[in-house]
Amino acid sequence: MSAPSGTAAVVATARFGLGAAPGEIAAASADPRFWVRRQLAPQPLPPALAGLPDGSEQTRLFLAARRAMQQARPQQPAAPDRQPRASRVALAGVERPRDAYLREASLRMRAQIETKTPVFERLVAFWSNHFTVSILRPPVLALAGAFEREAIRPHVLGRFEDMLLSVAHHQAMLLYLDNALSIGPSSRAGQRRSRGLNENLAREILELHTLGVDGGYAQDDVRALAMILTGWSIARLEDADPGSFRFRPAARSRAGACWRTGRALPATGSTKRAT
Amino acid sequence: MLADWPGLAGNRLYEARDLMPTIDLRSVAKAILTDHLGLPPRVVEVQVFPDSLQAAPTKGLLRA
Repeated sequence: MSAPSGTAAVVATARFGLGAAPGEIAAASADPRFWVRRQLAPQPLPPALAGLPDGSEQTRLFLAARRAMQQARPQQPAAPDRQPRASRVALAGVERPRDAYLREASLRMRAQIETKTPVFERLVAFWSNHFTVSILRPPVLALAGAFEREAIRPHVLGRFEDMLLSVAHHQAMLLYLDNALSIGPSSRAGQRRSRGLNENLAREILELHTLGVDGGYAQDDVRALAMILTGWSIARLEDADPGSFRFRPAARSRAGACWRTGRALPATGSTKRAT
Repeated sequence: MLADWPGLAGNRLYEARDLMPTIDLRSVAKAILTDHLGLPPRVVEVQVFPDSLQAAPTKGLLRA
């Protein structure tokens, strides 16, 4: 067993940081607690991750690739429940989604190796895990990196509410949990077509992101939150700023949503990104 | 897959019982620490695996 101060430095670097880099245990030894505490401040984007495509651009590329794929095979219209395979489609002159993902994953590793604030980087990983998105969903593949850069990093050690709103507005989350396609049953869009309310994002916000599985909410609350989130979607290729967040009033549920607490919420809601 | 195959003949087994180890795991760990995690080779040799010069880092473990 090492001397107590040496042990604390190892704990600081291994359990609060990313494992000791050369010289890091020595640097933390003088005051291990301060070594952790001084890193508890918002940090700028690591240089290794600068200049990568943002979420809007990656989403626009995905939408364009999906359209190119659909137009290439018009004899086989994709069934609405089938996942598009745009991740396999290479647009001329554009990086394939899988390559974009691998490139950023490698740069992220580089950033974690080079960082002078490993405690902050560990918190980035913690919150990315808390607000999980899965690259097994094709649209998310090229977006996972942008999600962490744009929705997680700026709010680590900021306010939880800001991170939650940022996450729920991000293309990666709206596509991963299908909210981009969710339509209020009583909305104008809902009366025109069969597709309906999608509760995935609302359920995960309550079960994973905020209250927790035993947090005291019920199915009515999931449905109410799903209604509130109707219209939170993504601009199509025909819209202005394709690939960016877009509020769709036509998909917004017109039945005012009610929580179990009985507090009625207006049916109109915000039309802008909150953050 | 990274392996040699010593075979299962009785006289090739480790302690006459188990598959014979053929690779010093420090060689694999050294390659990961330097080529993947970017540690200077000197740090790996001196601090992480002292007195392990006979276990040279595995070459070609990582794709570029």
